[in-house]
Amino acid sequence: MSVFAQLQGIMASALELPTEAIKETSSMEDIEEWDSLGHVHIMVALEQAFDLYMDVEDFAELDSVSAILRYLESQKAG
Amino acid sequence: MKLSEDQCNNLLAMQSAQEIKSLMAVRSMAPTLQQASKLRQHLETLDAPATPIRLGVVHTYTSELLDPWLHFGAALNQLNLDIYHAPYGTTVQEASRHSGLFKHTPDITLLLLTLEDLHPAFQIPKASIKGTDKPAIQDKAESVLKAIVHRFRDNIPGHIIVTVLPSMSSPGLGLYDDMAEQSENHWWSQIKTNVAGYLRADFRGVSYLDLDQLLMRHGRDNFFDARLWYSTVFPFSPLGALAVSNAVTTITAAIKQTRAKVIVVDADNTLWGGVIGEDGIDGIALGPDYPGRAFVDFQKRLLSLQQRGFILALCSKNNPDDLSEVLENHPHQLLKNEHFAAQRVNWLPKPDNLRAIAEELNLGLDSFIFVDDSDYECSAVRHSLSDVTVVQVPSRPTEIPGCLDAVARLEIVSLTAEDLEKTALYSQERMRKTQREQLTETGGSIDDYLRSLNMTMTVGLDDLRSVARLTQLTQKTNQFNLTTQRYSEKDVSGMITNEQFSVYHFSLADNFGNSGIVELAIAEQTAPGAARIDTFLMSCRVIGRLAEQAFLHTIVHNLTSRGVTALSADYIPTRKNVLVEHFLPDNGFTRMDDGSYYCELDGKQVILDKNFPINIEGPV
Repeated sequence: MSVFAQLQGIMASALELPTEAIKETSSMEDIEEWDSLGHVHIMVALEQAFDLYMDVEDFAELDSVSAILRYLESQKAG
Repeated sequence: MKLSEDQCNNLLAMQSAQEIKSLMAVRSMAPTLQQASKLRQHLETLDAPATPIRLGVVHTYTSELLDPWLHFGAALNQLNLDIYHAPYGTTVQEASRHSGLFKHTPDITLLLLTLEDLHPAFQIPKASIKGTDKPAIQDKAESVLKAIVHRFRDNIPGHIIVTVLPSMSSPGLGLYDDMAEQSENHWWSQIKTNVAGYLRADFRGVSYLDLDQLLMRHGRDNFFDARLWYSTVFPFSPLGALAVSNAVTTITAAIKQTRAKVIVVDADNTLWGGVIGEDGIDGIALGPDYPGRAFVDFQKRLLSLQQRGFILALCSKNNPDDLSEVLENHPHQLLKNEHFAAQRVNWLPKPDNLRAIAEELNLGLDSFIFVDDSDYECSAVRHSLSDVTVVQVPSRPTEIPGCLDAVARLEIVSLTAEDLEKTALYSQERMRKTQREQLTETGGSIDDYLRSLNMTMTVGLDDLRSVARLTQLTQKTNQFNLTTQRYSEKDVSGMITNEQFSVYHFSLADNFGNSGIVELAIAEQTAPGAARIDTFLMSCRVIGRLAEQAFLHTIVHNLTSRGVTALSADYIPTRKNVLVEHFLPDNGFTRMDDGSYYCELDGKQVILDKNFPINIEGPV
């Protein structure tokens, strides 16, 4: 499964949306459910799924699917 | 422990919510947010219908992040939540009839408070509070909490669960704290003990949920998440949020679902390891070594469940002689004959035995928990007795002692002296039955049996000391109950102090023991010379001993001596009280055109002259 497909599943369950609602171009601005609470759910779910420890500073920056994908890529590389 | 994808898929293949919940608890499995959402969807498709619950959350820290965990906990406990979160930081404002909380008409209100809400002094380090200031601060904090709970209790319907967030950091004095006179830990437990004490004494329908119990299970480092706390004022880690949600939904289930009363246990591979019929008394695993120690521990847990007020019964496919040899002679067997209110040791199908036990104890199968190691027996009971909660004993001995920890129906929200005596009362009943069988086999009559018991009925009238028990009787008695009026403690004490009402009760003692208070009757004087029986109910545990008739006879005597000549009564049929359908006509009452019953107390046709095999004592 591609990282994006995995991320789609994680975000969809965190925001209680169908998977199709999460697109590679999605960001906090265009998904209503992705509010500040939804964002925390996504961060928690990401940590659990990819076994990460994220800093509070990372939370704010990861406000779009592309930003999250870049972050996950950098974690894998690191 | 993390839940692997394989384990998660195993859970997703299971068809019983109780099975899923027990396994997760026994292995301390913590799902991820995504797994929890999948499991919730699966649980919601299982056939048992979920009970809808309206939950209101009043909070002084972020609470919305609990939602997915609350919904997951609810699904595990077969509940379906409609959650309302009060505006952030409001407390007493929500305890009004104009609040969003009131409009939500909650079944359960969860108060998430912090110590800082109760007294500003808690905002500075506790260790720096002077010893001489402490009592005043503590008094003030406790009275603030009491006032908050009062406001909610007075204005908001439903049950209230109170929590105070434990400290997220180690005590200010570090490892020395517990040694210090100004110990924070010590002070905190004192406050909690007092809070729980007055919530128990002064309030109805209020529970204190001690978050420390959850904190201890998981540890402070795992329970809280500093990042979420500092960035969003949400204190819990996902694991902590899951634990809190599980506890809240478990308490909710314990309140809302039919209360369990009986735990029926199997013997082989449940109370001990191995099979007594094959391994013999020296071969079964029970004692100080592995795996026997795990079984000894499980028996201890069963004894503590008995202390919580549950009745134990034994149901095993075995030769009765083999089994009683263990019960009587095994040096490490803790559960003896007297601990079991009923026993079925035979080769009959277990569902039949459960039905027989239900009949013997006079309790519905919906109050049964069935504990057995065998796949076959568990599915047989699940299949033919869907009201019974089935708990399958794990195959790993180390997991057996904790296997009943996660059963919501074994959680209690109150504990009375009667609860503690329950099994003793039932085993007395078993001895009575044996005596009756022995007497009737040798040609004795029922009357001979009743006389052989040497019964003494102690009647009480308008006794304020018994309010709690009398109220409990109006709440819990379904079968022998003419009118099924449910009363609160306030109602009952109101009637006791009101001249118009006479509140009678009795307890019944015999050669085998004392029943405690088992009957309540309330008579209201409606006009000079006229009275009406408002309530007449009796606990099923004394049925079949003519006590109800002797009691009615005593009341009639007492009312006659006060100048009552006309007595009316009602029978209000319900789904469960067909037992007393004929009680009034059988005892001299005439049915009137409007459906009520009437009895002229001039003596003749009434039961007044009957001679009962019961010695009656008391102020009446």
